[in-house]
Formats: sequence, structure tokens, C-alpha cells
Amino acid sequence: MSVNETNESDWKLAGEALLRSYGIIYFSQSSWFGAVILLCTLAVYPIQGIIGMTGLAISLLTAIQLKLDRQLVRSGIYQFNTLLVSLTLGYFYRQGMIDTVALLVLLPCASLFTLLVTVSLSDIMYRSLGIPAISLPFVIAQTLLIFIVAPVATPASPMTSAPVSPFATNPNWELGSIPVTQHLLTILETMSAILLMPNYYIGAVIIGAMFILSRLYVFYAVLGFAVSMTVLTFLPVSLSYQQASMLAFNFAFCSLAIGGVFFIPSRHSLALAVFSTAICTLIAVVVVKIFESSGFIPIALPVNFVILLVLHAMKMRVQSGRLNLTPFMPTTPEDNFRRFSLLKLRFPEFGYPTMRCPFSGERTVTQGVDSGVTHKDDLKYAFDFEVLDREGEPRIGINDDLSDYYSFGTPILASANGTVVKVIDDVKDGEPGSQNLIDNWGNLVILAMDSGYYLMACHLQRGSVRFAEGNRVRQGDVIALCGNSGRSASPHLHVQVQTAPTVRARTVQCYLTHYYEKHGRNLTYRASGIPDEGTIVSAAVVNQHAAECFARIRDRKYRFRMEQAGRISEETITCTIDSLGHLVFTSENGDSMKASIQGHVFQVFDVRADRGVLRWLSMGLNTVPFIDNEQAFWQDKIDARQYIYPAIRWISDSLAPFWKCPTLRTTGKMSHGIPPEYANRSKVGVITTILPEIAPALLDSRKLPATITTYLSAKDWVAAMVVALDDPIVIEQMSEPDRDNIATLSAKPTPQFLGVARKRMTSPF
Amino acid sequence: MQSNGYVAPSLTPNRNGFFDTMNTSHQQYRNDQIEGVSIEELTERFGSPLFVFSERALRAKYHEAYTAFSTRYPDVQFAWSYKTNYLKAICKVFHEEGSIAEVVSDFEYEKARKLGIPGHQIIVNGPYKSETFLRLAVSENAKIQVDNHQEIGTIEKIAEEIGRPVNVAIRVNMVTGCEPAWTKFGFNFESGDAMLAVSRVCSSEHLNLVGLHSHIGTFILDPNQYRVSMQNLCALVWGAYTQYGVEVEYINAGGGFASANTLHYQYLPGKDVVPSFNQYAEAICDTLLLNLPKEMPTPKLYLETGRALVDEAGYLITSVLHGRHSGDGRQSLVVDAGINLLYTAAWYKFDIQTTQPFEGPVGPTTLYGPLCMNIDVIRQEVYLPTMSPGQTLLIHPVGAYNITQSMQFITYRPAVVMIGLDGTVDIIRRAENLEHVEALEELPERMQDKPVKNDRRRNGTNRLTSELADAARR
Repeated sequence: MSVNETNESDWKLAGEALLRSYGIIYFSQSSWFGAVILLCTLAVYPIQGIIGMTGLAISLLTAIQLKLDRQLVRSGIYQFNTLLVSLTLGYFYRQGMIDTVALLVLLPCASLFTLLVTVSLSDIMYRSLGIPAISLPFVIAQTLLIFIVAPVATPASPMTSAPVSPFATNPNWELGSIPVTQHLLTILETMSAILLMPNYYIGAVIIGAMFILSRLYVFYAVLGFAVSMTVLTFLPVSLSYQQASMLAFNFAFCSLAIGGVFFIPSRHSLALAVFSTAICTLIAVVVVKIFESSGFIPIALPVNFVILLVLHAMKMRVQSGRLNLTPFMPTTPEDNFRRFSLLKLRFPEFGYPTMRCPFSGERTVTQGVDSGVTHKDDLKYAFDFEVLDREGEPRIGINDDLSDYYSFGTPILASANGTVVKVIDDVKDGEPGSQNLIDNWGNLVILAMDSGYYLMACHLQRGSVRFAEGNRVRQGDVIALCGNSGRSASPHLHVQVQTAPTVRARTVQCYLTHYYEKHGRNLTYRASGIPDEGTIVSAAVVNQHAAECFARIRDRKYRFRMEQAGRISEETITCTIDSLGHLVFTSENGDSMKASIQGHVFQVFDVRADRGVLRWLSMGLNTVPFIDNEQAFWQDKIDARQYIYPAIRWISDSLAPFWKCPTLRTTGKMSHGIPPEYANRSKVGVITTILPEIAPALLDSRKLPATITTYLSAKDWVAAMVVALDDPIVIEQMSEPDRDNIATLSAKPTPQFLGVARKRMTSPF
Repeated sequence: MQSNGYVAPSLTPNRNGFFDTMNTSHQQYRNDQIEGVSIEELTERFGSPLFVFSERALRAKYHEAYTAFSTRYPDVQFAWSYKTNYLKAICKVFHEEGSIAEVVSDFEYEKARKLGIPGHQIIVNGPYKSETFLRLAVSENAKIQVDNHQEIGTIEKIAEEIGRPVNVAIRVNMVTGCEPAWTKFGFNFESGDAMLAVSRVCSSEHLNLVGLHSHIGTFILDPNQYRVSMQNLCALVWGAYTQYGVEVEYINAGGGFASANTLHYQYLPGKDVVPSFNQYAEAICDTLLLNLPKEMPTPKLYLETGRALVDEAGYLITSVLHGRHSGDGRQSLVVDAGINLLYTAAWYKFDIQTTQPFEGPVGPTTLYGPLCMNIDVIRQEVYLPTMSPGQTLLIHPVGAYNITQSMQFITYRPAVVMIGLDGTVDIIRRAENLEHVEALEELPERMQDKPVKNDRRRNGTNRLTSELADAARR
């Protein structure tokens, strides 16, 4: 069943979408916030609120009936424009500009029209520009409605119910001439003005809810307001305070969207938000001046225009640097920041091509990325691998024979599945020390990797390439032997990933995956990385037993028993597989975590777990590579937020984007020492040690375990886990016959040949 | 310079311009130090004869071997063959470098366990494993490599008793061109016995086939013989995989790599003839990668190398006891190391190096050991200068098998020292003494001397001596 054909009832979907549609006006995905907004719309002006809800409901049910994408319907993206249009109609009705009959005619039409515009415009803008439509459909629909309803709202009678202030018509008001309290009231009012219900009390409730949801939301909104007011006072041609307060929500939302929603919050996004708000202010002045004579001002236009402009321009950058677009569905700025920081720290290879080691054994990176003489400019993303002994010598003895070099003749493996597209095999291997500058790449193989990039391996031995152009190779196949052809003084392997299948194509950054780095006696495992020059790199082998422990995870329920200080509790974790192939674990108490299994490693991400078993599972199994080397250790990071004292957690959340994400450092090691009580279920364990990375004084160390030891089972994922706290926690999986699945997988595949099945053979002697 | 005593007059033909085809002059090369430590100092501190091992050479050789194999095969593990040299210090060096243990008897197994190696890191070979030993190995999850059908039966019985299946590997023998072919051990490949054993283990509910092993011979000078053995093992891997769905976890290529020793019938010196680790690695790894089924995960490769790792790291310093010249100019030297210490003298012509400057030409010399046995000959013919008693000679390479196969016969066995990486010299086996040799001996009570009773009536002499003793006391 695809994601769109679920068993979920339409009414349940409609209910969720309804609440979210209210919240998403303020860029929030939270259902409770949506409920607060909904109540706000019904509180002071119930008629308008009901009209808004009716219009929304009409469009919602239509969207479900029309079988539009359920996920987009659920998130409210398709509906909130309709809601705003319906609220506009409600406002007109409240002001008496239309009567009931007109309302009954206009409401369904307008709501459906907005739905259609939203769906079409979203698609067009995503496809051609790669940016969302935000509330442009609302601007369009509102403009059309005004023409139908006949704009009665003139600049002289603004759409506000506040008393006309003495500064109403004075275009050149000084910043200091308006008391701060007036500004504060304007901020409150502007928050509810987007709902077409400008009212201090509603605004206050909304700001209060926003503050609880995310302090940074409020910060950015207030910042936007402050920036715009400052800009307005110094412009030669400006707005009246009344107009400014009418348009104030543009500035607040512009700052909020750029600073915290569409970009990951950071110092840089803050700067961008300030400038964008300033630009928005100017655009608002222009819009007002253009439209004020026509009697109608499309008040939501400036914010839409600026956000879309900034988003589109920023997408044109070649590299992201410190200013990053939010790559997932944004929630609150603090959450976005933490989630993004952890993803960036832990999965730097996301979006780049990856390759496994094209060799076995240990090699030294003798020339790395952007270094040396030849790895420069277009060719800078390349690696030179050479076998050196402990003294750093590339050959044995003192003779200068090619066969004395350790690297010469060693097999070169395919780094990924792919097709061979080019083979050059006839260049003579040069004498050590000589450089062939004519065929300077020497013998080479170019592999078109299934991921879409091309891998080139050069300086191969003459006549040693084992595949022809057009052959398909699998990762790990021997494709050639290392030689000394081309511009190579001593035998080495040169490998690079490039964008085209030609010999001198531009190289791209690529990440090496599943390897060890040796530093002295220490062996560090890296799931992915770019080794520096001089590092000793060796290929890690995928250990079948460790891989089996995770390969058997499927969509079923896992029941765990947790014991701490005599208290025993049981918890059921349900595992499902999402459309991207990630495992999603959800607990009955609401916790959730996601995990991805690539061929060589199991990694947990998007952890939202603070209570039960998933909290410890996510820490103990944060990263588990499929290796069996007990000497190697790997490092990883965990969000430290749960361990910060609750009293200062809000402060640290808000400050983190401008400083650093608080993380815990974890070190992991495999272990074959299984205690006897688990020995019959588990053969391999993982020991994770946790260390704080930020000031330990901020952390509640009683809640922080020193180590977590997990015992993995080849059939059942996790057999048991021991968390080393002052009161240790022991978690065990309760095994039960799996009634949901037909075949219980056994450890050994069943024999197939002629029924010689498991019959005991006696000795022939 | 100390005079060497009598130097026999001789005539040396002027051979300028001629090639030294008989290789007579290479013995003029002399060596007065091992790893920077002077031989004189070693003999002064520890006596003579003296076995000397170089830790640096051990580690370098291991690293060379490991590099050759690990760069050609994804998953390689060396297992140190204890029977080659089971001194604790030598074994420890290899274990520190990452090697596991390979043993062929319960004694060696106990030794490895005492050194701290856990059961699952010990490969157990051998044509005879007693039931007690098998029980111990099974209980400690050792890697048992079965040799014959009776052993399979015994292990099945044990597995049934303990109630869980046991992991075993199968040793295979075959014809590879090696002379003599080792048919004593394991199941024969050509007759189909090996595949029969594979079938038996795979279809048994008490056993799991986890590995295949072949150790084709010793001192193999042709790496292509390993191609044959690996091909045959791959055929068994295919058999197990296609017929039983069993994915073998490891292939054990055994040992048998040659060291730089020269066999008795060999013309060229060993170090010019012995294949490099690269050549062995290419033969073994290339064959495996080409012939293993691609659908299966690549099995681990175990290597039980012994001689090739330790032989060249071991030296024996010996002193000349006396010498004589025969009428035809041939010198005979008796040195203090005999075949009780150098069992491998039966197979090799060791390198004999002088350690001090000498006068006069070299001449054909026979080296005898100190034992009162006519067969005690270290080298039948080697070219040495006239040597006088007290001068030392350096015998190399002697690291493999000589210590484990040495006998305490006629003389005490000497000390063994190891020169560490920083040049410090440590004793790794003390020289024997009477107490050590007699430690296990028991004299039956009837043969023991009785304590003499002080009975003056029985023996007059006794009375006299006791009176004298009393007088002396006063």
C-alpha cells in the first residue's frame, strides 16, 4: 500500500488538517498551536471565525474527495490560503460590505477557487523555480475578491479597529515620538491582523502561544518589527504610522520566515533576516504608494515577494557555507537548528557521491584533496593511495625494482556498483622515479557508478585491467592491479570522482565510506569522511554477523521490558518503513526515532524520545558499524538537550543557534565478551561511552549514563541493553512467537538440493 | 690484534678476472654484532652457546607478510604456529602484532590459554585430539579443524551432550606437486573424501561447517602450488554452498612458506631462491578472489605461517672448543652447539659467519658439535678461516623449530635472549641447570640412601669419628 492509500479515515485526516491549517499560517506544524489559533478566531469575532472555518472545511473535504496528495493536505499547506480568503470574506461580512446571500454564494466559490490556485501555483513554482507558493494564492484571491466586493476600504479608513491616532496622517513621524507602549500594542495587533481580526487581546494570546511554542519565533517577529520601524523613520518618502501598523505583519513574518523557518537559524540567517526585512519595508512603501490611489492595497504582497525572492536567489548558490536552507519540513527554529546541526555533523556526506575503499589493507594518503602539485583546481578532489611500511618507505630494501614496491601489483577494487565506460590498458609502467608526461594518467579505468558520478582509477599496471568497456562490476570486484604508468614516480593509486566520463573531467568532492584511520596504536572507524594527507587508511570489511543483527529488522512490533531500581515496565515499539526506506520506530508512549541502514552501518537520527526505551536505544545504537574489529572505536554525537537542567533549557535552546548546538560525544566499540546470561541469544555487543561536550555544569549528570552496553541478536535486533547509571537500567527484549509474519527466519538458509535436507549422515567407517 | 696461533701456509691462486662460481669467498663476510649489540657483550653476559632473537626482525617480518596479504585480500588474519617456536616472549610479540594462535596439541593449547589468548582465538589442528581435549576446546569455542571421520563422530557426540551445535572446519589434503605429498593429515580431496566430510558436517544437526583448511607441505619454494590448493578449497566451498546453502566463514591456507635457509641439495643460497611474501600472497589471494562464489560474503583468510616469520629473526652464537687440521688441509672444528640444539641441521646448510677479524685464507671446514655422537655434525663443509678455541661463530637463521625440537641430551640447553626494539637484551628462557633437569625425576624409595644412625656398637669407625667430632667441639 502506498503512503497515499492508507486505512486512515478521511474524517481523521480532515480533523488533523483542520488544526494544522490554522497553525501553518504562522509557519508552525504544531496541532495544539493550530487549536489555539482556531479558538482565537472564534473568540472575539465568532461569526467571522465560523465563516473562516466553513470555507476551510469546504475546501478540505473537496481536497480529500478529489484525492489530492494526503500528506500535503494533512500538513495544511493546501488549505491555509483558503482559510485566509474565507476569513477575508468573514471580515467583509462583519464590516457589512456583503450580505448573507452574497456570502453564501462567494464563500464556496472563493474557497474552491483558492484551493485550485494553491494546488496549481504550488506545483508550477516548485517545478520551475523550486520555491513554495507561501501565501501568494491568498494575495491573488484576495485581490480578485476586492474587485468583486468593490473596495470600500480607502487609505483613510484603514482595516483596523484601533482608534485613529494623532499620527494618522503625518507621514514623517519620528521614531522617538511614538511611545513604546504604542509599539507594543501594534505588535500585538499585527499578530492577529494576519487573520483579518486586528485585536490586542487576540494578538496577546497568539504571541503568548508563540512564546510557548518557540522563543525564537517571538524574537524574530519583534526584531522584524523593530527593523522596519527604524527603516521607516529614516526614509524620505514613508508611510503613516497607521499604514505602517497595517502592514506591520509583513515585516514580522518576513523576519520570522527568513530568520527561522526557511533558513536554519544562525548568526548569518539573522543578518539575512535583518536585511530582508529592510528590503521588505522598502517594497511595502512602494506597494502602498503604487496602490493607494486605487483604493486597495494587497497587504500581503511585500512579504511574499521578498521571501520568494530571497529563497530563489539563495538557491542559486554553488556552496552553502554557513547559511543553509532548511532541507526538511520546518518545525520550530530551535528544533530545526538542532536537527540540522546533528545531521550536518553526523552525515556530512549527504548530497555528495560516496565511494568505498578501492583497495584492501592499509594505505597512506600520499596526496590528498587540494594539495600537492597535481591535485589542484579542477582536479583537486582526488586521492593518492600508496602502501608504506612502518618507516614510511614505499619499497622493501634498497633496490629500485618495481616489484620491490609494496603497492606494485596489488589489486584495485571497484568502489561502487557500476559499469565500466573507459579502459586504457597499454601504457608501459615507468621506471621508479620517471614521469610519463605524455600519457600522464597512465593506464586507467573509468567506472560509471550507479549513483550517477564517474570514478576514475589511474596509474594501473599494463595489461592488468580485468574488465572491458560495457561490463558491469560490483563493489569489491578486482578491476585491475596497481602499477606505475603515467605521471607516477613510485607505484601508487590515483582515484577521483568526476562529473563526466572523459579523462580530464572536473572532479567533485566525494566521501570515502566504511574505513579505518590509524593514528599510532589507535584505530578509528569512520562511517564516512575525507582522509587528510598523511593518514593511514584501511578498508573495513562488512562483518556478516553484525549486519544480520540489523538486516532482520522489519515492520513488526518489538516488546521490551525495562527494569530500574526494582521498577519494571513494559513497552512496545512498532517499526515501520517509510517511503525513503528508513526505519521508523514509534513507541506506544509517543517517542519516535528513525534509523537508516546503509550497506555497512546502522545510524539513528531524528530522535524524539525522552521517556522510555527508545531514549536508551537511540543512545546506545546511535551508530553501529558492521565490523568485528574490537580494537577500533568510532565517534558520534548526540543531542544534549535532554540532559540540560530544565530551568535553563529554554535559554540554551534560544541561544544555541547563535553559538553552538549542545551535543554529547559518544565513543563506540564492538565487544565479543557477552555475559553468560545473554550468551545464548547474542554473540556481539556494542559498548557506547558518553562524554559531555559542553560545560558539564549545565548538564544534569545524574541522568547521564557513563556507558551503554547493547547485546545484539542475529534474529531479533536487540537482545538486551544495560545502561550504566547510578541505578542501572536493564532492558531486555521479550521474545514471542511472531504471529504477524508467516515465515520465521532461521539463522541458516534451508538447503535446496534434492532433498538432502538435514539428514544426519553417519560415518562410513 | 690477538694472534690466532698457528696459521697453515697456503697458496691462493690469483683469480682476478674470473667469476667466483664456487662461491668460496662469501664466507669472508663477518658479523660482530646483532642489531647493534656486540656478540662479545652477549657471550660475556649470557655465556655460550646462546640463542638470540631480534624483536625488530620479528615485527618487521610480520608486518611485511601482513602487508603482502592484506593488500591483496579484504579480510586476512595470521595465526602464529606455536609448534615453530612456543617461547612465551616470541608468541607474545606476534599476538601483540595482531596474530591469533594456532596449536596442534593440548599442551600448546594450554600454553596459549596461559598466555591470555581466549579460546575463540585459537585454531586447533592435529591428527590426534583426545576426547578430553576436544571437550575443552568445544567449551571454549576454539576453532577446531577436524582431521578424520572418528573425530567428527566424537565432536558430534559432545555436541549432542551439550545441546548446541559446534562450529568446525575440515582439513583437506591434496596433490599439488609438492614432494613428498602430505597424505597423513585431513581428508583427501582427489578421492572425494573431502567432499564426503563436507557433506557429513553440513547435513549434521550438531555441527556447523565454518571453515576449510589445507596445509600442503613445508618449505614450499613454488608459490603456484598454493594456487592448486586454493582452487581445490574453492571447489569445496562451491559444493557446500550449492548443495547445502552453507556459506563457509573462513579459508585457512595453512603455512609452509619458506625462509631464507638453504636446503642441503640446493645450489643457490636460500635468500636468492625463496619466493617473497608478495608472490605467495598473489598466488593465494588471486586464486581465491577469482574462484570464490560472488553471491557469498567473502570468507576470512587465515594463514598459519611459522617458519617464514621467525626463522630469520633467530641467531645462535657458538664458541669454538677446539680444532684440528687433517693432512689434506681440511679443518675440523668442535663447537659448543650440537645437533641437540640444531635439529634443523638435518635439512639446512646454515649461514656460518665469523665474528672477529681473521688472518689467512678460508679453507674447507667441518663443524662438529660437542656431543659424544658421530652424527653430531652441524655443517659438513663450510669455508672458514683457521679458528682457535674461544672464538665465536654466528649461526643463522635458526629461529624456527630448533628451540622447540631441541633435546636436553648430554649437555644443558643454553639460554635464549631477545634484543628489544630499543636495544635492551632480555632473557626469555634461562639456561638449564641440574635442578631443572632433575626436577621431574623421582628415585624409588628402595634406592634412596638411608640416613646413618649414631650406633657406636655397629661400626668402630663411627665411634672414632664421633669422638673426634666431640673433641673438635670442645
